[in-house]
Amino acid sequence: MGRDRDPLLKGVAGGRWLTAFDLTMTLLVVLLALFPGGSGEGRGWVVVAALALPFRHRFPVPVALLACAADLATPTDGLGLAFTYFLAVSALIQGSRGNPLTWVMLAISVVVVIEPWSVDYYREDTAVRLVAVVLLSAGPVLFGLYLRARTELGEAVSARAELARDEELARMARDRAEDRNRLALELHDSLGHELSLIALQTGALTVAAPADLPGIADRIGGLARQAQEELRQIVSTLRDQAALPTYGALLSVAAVPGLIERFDRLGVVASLATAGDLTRLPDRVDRLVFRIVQESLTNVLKHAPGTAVEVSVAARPDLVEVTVINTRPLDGTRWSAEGRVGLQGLADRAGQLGGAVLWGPAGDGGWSVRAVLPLAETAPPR
Amino acid sequence: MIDIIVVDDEELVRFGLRTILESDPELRVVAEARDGAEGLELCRLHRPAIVLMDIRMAGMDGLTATRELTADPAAPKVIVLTTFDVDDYVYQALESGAVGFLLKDTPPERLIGAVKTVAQGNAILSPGATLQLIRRFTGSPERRVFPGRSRLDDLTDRERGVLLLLAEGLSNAEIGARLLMSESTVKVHVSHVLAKLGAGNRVQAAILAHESGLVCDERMARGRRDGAGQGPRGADR
Repeated sequence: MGRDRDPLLKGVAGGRWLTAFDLTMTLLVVLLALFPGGSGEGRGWVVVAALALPFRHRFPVPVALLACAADLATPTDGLGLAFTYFLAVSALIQGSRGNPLTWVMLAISVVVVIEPWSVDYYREDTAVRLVAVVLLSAGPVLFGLYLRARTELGEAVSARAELARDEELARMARDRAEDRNRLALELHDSLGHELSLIALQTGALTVAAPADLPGIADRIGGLARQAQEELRQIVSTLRDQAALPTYGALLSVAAVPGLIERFDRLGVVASLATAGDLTRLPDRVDRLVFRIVQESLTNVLKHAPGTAVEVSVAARPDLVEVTVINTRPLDGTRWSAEGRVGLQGLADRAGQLGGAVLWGPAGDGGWSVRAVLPLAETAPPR
Repeated sequence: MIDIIVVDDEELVRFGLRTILESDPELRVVAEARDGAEGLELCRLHRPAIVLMDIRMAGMDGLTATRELTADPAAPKVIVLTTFDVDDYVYQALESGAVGFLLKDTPPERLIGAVKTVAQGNAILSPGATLQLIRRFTGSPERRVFPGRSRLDDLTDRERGVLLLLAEGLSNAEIGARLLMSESTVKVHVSHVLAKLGAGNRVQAAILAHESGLVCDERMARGRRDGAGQGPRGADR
């Protein structure tokens, strides 16, 4: 049921189509009552009861009472009255949730239909008339019970759907919060570190002897390039994430398959082999593994496109091993330590965790990056 | 001449700090260490006045090294280095006996000034930030264990007054001005307070004053007095 619906309307009917149904019924009953024919006695009562019908869900007892009054007021029961009675009593049953007043009202209704005081009526065709009266009183009750069961079922189904939706929303919110948190920590660990070093070196620049100046300026330049590289990687990760439908894996090992898929589209074909339980890595290690794979694949894309790459991430009891090896580039490009700026920053971070990142030529003219990161925190975080 | 040892696992940090510190003729970096263990060894060898100590290092970390270093009565004064987080670890370092902390990107003149302040030992280094840190961590209920309450009872009223102002970050000169004493008298009181509390330095005494609730009680009492209209705060002391 819509939460924002007008409460009066909600009282009138359960939904919009029911409102249309109510209007039609009311109109029909009023027309039938006004139609000339019969004695016409008590016709006003029937019209009032019919007009009250749209409110039968909100005020079931008074509406049923009106219907009974209309029944008593009309000596010959017409079709309009029968409709009114039927709808009023079924609504009474449908809405009853253990309210004793409902049962009193139901008893009154049944008595009014049976009219035990009109003994004469049952003298002719006794059996037929008795059956008819029983059906007339039992019909709306059964129909009301049916409506009630249907409403309850619908409520249960929508409650379950709502619960599932709430859970899904909560999970998404949790995942997003986790992503944001990981991003914040990553910015802190990478850029924060380099910026603080730049500030320190700049401080040194202002007081250093003239002979030291070129060296310090060089270091500052190197740090700035390193920071820029880190920033570029993080921004590209975010851009990837924006294109992905899922949350909760930003900058983590869980995002490595997606990373490899993206590089595949860029023309770097890499295979991934994993071993051990990679779902319980400490947060710093988790992020660093992702960044090492990302940085290595970026280097392959830059310096050796078209080579075959093997990525392996293996969790051992007390450490994680990451290897990214690519074969010799087809055009015979020679590797150099240049352009390893990004790896240096990651190696520094690995060092702080008590691990290491090593890189160098591999066998047949290819290149390999190897990292070993301990799983136990060796020192307090910076 | 103030002898200094720099302990940090990053060459760039050591180089930067050395360049800045040695630009002042009164300061001299006598050695550099890459981790806590090496730092301890070099301290035994060189007996520096000041150690600049990184917290997080591969090998022996800065907290452990600070703890071991300050256990020695003739220990150098340890200033903890931090990148830009002033967090629980910095607080633990202060509890462990460090006299203060510095951000690694502190501008040169402030860095030099900080080292000199610590060498003189008459004031808390960057009192505002330090007290903020102490309040943050003593404010949490699990920290408030009132360890020094009984030791506080040994203080004379004068010493208690000195401790209160010290715990608010005032230097000896400022305390002297506030309590109408000479700076050297304040110095004597401070050394008595440290000895009675078993505190290694001013920061530890300040932590104790905050943890024991002394500062808090006093502030509330003062609040009540101020509320009663007995003049501006501090005028009656």
